[in-house]
Amino acid sequence: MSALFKSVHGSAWWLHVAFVILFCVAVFAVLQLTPKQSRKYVIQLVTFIGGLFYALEFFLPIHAQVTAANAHGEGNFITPYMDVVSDWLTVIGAFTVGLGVINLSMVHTKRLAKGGNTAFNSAVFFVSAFAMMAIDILQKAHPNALNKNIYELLFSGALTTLDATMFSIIAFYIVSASYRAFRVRSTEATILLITAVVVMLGQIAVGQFITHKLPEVFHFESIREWILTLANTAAVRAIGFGLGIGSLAVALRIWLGLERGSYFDSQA
Amino acid sequence: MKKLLRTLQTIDRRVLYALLLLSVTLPFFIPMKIPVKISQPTHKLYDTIESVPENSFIIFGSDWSAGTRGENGAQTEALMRHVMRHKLRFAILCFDPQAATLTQDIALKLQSQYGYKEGVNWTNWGYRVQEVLFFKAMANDIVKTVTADIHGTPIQTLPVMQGVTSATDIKLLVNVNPTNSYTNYIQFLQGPYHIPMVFAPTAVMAPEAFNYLDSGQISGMLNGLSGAIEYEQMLGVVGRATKDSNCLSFAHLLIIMLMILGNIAMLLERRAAKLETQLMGGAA
Amino acid sequence: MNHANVPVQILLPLFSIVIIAMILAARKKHLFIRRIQGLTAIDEAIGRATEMGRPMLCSIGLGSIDVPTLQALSITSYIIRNSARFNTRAIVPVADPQIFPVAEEAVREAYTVEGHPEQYNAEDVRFLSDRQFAFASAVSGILYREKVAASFLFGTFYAEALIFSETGQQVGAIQVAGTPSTTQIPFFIASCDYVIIGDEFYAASAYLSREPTLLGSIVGQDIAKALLLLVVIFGSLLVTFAPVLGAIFSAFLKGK
Repeated sequence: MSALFKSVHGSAWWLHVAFVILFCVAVFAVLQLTPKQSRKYVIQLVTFIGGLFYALEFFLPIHAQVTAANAHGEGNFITPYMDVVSDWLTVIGAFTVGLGVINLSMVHTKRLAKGGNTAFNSAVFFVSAFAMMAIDILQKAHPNALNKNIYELLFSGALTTLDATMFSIIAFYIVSASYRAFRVRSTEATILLITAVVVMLGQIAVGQFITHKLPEVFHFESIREWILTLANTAAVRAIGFGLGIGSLAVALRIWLGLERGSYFDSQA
Repeated sequence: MKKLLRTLQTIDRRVLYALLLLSVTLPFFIPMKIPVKISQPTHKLYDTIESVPENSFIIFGSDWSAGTRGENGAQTEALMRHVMRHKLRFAILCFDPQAATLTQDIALKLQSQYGYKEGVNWTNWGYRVQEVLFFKAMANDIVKTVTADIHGTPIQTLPVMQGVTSATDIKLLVNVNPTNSYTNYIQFLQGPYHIPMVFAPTAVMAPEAFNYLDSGQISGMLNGLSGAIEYEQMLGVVGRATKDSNCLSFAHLLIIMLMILGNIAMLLERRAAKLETQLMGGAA
Repeated sequence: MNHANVPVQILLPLFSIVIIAMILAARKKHLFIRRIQGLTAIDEAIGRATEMGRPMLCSIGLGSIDVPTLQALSITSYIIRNSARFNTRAIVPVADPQIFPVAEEAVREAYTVEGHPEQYNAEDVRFLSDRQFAFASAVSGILYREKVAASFLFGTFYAEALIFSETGQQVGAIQVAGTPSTTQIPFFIASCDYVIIGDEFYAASAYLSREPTLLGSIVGQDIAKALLLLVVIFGSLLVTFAPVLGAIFSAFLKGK
């Protein structure tokens, strides 16, 4: 079986690629010709087989699997095919990379053609996208000082700095959000406010200085540590349990074709 | 009075932003140093690094970018100082494209202070992709998976990598990370190979990570910038975090004062409205 | 963990059986789930957008083709089906190219199911950027330029969550958020009108659609959580009152 997934080179590689393209076109054509109702069963079958592969690999008992690449390997009979399937998934995922850029280009081309206020923004999109793409290709193909400097200017000087700027906006937004939100409107809101104040004071030097003369149990930093290591840990763990089981339920429903609503079936 | 109370509850956000800007910049001109109490997670992290034998090989995972430089940059600097002071060999490993350069800069800045040299005492494996696949492959054969460092030098030729072939040769995992991808370190390295792991998240990510600290999967943690400040205090150095500590304090105090101001104004307004209603009811 | 250890081999199939059993039971018997205020507010938010004649924003987060994003898409579909009846425009920004065709199809299907395929506008489902802050600034721009009246933030979010919600506050939008990212919940609580916490997010599709299968799944989840709670209580009692037995139980759970 592993002979099927051996690397090939030269004309054999081109033959493989041609065969795969023809196979994909044939599958696509068959799916298009299939009635819409039946297509649903094909998708459910493929989903089930995909999920079954990973589920079995995870659950089946394992034994030592020493290979040339891995002297301490462990696995079951499915484990050797995990890498192959991962490669397939990466290739399938790669097909979608261009989709986003195509969609963006279509939207902005229409806006540019229409003119108006938004045309300038669309022009900026095209200029910056192509400039970044061009300089990235240039500095890899011809890594001279000029190309590298322009690339550094655009990447580290512009993109990285803009990233950091957007992140810094969060600091300003948290001031306005907490000023507006932490009001004593109810008992729960009061507890939230007091907890927020204590935790914030507990992590700064000034806050620790305020209570340093009191017994240690009343220090802001001690209360903060209690809140974070006990109360918070318990709450986050509980939410984590719920999320984990919720995630399991959704995954089970999709895997077994039981999902309903939205783009799945509705029940009669 | 009513108008004043209403205004205090609805201060224009531009005024709030201006106050924040002032509170973050003014401390740079006010020399003030107040010692902080070292928290338990920081203590544990320090002790974990101290317990690793000298000349052991560790992974210094760095996955932050310029956006979180304020916290993660300070943490990286503090941790790297300790690692170098404790004479540990380390490899920088990054799953963020910016992290490789940013962390390399910090290492180059600090190496001369501790007699370290790139290639001899430390190396930078650079930016890698597909974290899960990388860890699975690296755990079995580091040389084949990593192949070369950030400069293209084959890693098997580097003195720092001598005797390091698989996960069993790694004695500690350090991860400075603003995201939740640290769980991959736990799942694929710390758990299966029982390698002690210490973690330095941003303050926002820390509450979630306390679970792993509690269960022992993480042996120590720096809680955001305040954790880095505590760590520098433990190391006895005045680094980036200590210089930023006043900004942190002032910004926190500003937020607390604004919250209290808004609440006092709200309570006073409510009381005034209640009194007015009672008076009007009495007059009727 | 690369492969299941003994506790996982016992607990995961057990929970799965419980969930599937309740799904099957729900097809015969009506099951009750309590009111979740944040989800009830969705209709209110759609109504507000309709009255104001302004569009809605439905963000599905930054995840790829994973469970939280598919769940977010399910909720977005419900929102769009409801809004289609009132001809209210919905903008769906997408951050991942892999989920983009799925989102397009889901939105088109939602309009078609409601009998309003003509309302589907391909430009309203747009890929913006897979870079976190580029996406955040693009969504902020949409919120401002379109003067969005209702903002729905469901899915996986990271640090940019506060940028979305605070910008929505600034334009006066009513905001409903739900995310499995626990670290972003405090930011949503501070700036959104309604927040769905924890596994209420996964209960959302059941709550909104009232499909028997989904209701059964929710009840099955609750039973699984109750079983987990019993394990926790049992382990705590063992460790407290019988340390030796507790150590054996603890080693068993760790798979040793």
